[in-house]
Amino acid sequence: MHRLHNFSPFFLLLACAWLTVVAPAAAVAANDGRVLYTQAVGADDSVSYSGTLTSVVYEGDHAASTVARIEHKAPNRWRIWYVAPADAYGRMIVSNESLTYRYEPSRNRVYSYDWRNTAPGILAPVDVARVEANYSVDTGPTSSVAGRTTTSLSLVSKHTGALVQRIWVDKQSKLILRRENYMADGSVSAKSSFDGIRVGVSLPQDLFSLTVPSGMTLVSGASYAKTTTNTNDLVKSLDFKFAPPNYLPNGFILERGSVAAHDGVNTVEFVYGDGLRTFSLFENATGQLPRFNEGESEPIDIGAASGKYAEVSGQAIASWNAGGLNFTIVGDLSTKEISKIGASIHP
Amino acid sequence: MTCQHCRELMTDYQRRELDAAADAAVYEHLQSCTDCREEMAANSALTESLRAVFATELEMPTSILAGVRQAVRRERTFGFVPNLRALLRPAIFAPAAAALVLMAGVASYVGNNSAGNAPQLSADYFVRQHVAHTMNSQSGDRAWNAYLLTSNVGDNANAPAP
Repeated sequence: MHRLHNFSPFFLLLACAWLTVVAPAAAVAANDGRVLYTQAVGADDSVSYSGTLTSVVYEGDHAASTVARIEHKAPNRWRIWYVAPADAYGRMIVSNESLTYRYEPSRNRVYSYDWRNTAPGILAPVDVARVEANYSVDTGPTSSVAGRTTTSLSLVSKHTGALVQRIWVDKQSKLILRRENYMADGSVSAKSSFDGIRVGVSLPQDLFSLTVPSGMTLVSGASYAKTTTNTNDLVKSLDFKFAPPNYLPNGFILERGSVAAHDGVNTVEFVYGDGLRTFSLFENATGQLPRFNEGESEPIDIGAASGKYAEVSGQAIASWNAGGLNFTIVGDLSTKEISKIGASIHP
Repeated sequence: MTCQHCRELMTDYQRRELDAAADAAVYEHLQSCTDCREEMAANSALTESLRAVFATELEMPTSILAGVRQAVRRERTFGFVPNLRALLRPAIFAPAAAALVLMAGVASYVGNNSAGNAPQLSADYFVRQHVAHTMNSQSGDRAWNAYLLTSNVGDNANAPAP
């Protein structure tokens, strides 16, 4: 007590110094990060650009990549021309975010994709409040990307302390010029970066018109299931009893669901997210694991069941059978999280 | 020619697929437009370097070409016996026989399994559905997602529930 009494003025002084210098500075930095993040996720709504983007996705022991020339006319017009990989060379995509035309000169065909019912969220602004509720946005040092000065932002989970994403934001336009996503073990799961970009370019509207050139035929591209937020009715419409997860990682909530018929199989999908990360839970009554490419999958234990786990196109996927149903989880999750979610499902 | 028109034709120009008049018009525009010239140079450099890495062009062996030409030139013969002999040639008969055997096999499989075994979906199907339904996620990459969702092996394969 005596010692404490002797030292208390010192600690009091230290606390005052912290409160007057360090705490406000940290608060300002955190606020700067949040402000910059908000500006960054909405920047392409008001800034047009033209550039070359290289994307790399890591899948187990190998990687896949695309190189694309992107022309964007704010707020929602896109023209993407792929120069790599070889199977996409020459493919052109023109989109207004609701409707996408994919031009395949090699086949003289134009494929159309309608996203209005599939992914209505793509037209909605990013829910920054949810991201901020689950992640701290830390400002990093400035560096150069594609010859432009950027500020890096790190998004760190408030629940696990794990770094989930880093973005490099153009100081002038606030566009995201580089992005890295991280797995739970800290390794990079995907990254994309502009090799060159011209910001604020004036692009003619005609460049983005959804037209079919003469000699080419318009056909429907693959369609994906319509989503709904009315998940109660969705569950009632199923011909099997949906088993919900009793555990979700911190910050995750149910966002929407859909039912798709494929090869005569009705599969229900529920999408969960925490603002930044997402995963889908699929259930159907086949009791069959999906087909994986040879050598692609490895065993995984989900509760008492044995299933298969793989990384496909940059997504973790795990599947197992229980109670006559097949369960498949796809998304930005670690194997530990998948096992825990899966074990909480009791069909 | 406008810059916009030039850029629309640029890919075809690079591949030498334009007719003479359009080719000349693009060439002329490139001589006078620095922006389009730079765009063209950037595209060409990138395309060539990627082609060198990714593309492998294989020429058909001359012996096969010669054989094809020879077969095309061969005179047709008429009459029942020569026609029957032609039908029974391995090149025609073998694939036809194989197709018949395959059809019989498929019919037998369907007959035996349609009641008990449910179809098996692919892992790729689940991944595509997930990506399509989370395109608005901030962790996504527009160019990669668009590549993935428009690289369908069988378009129209993922029909939504009615």
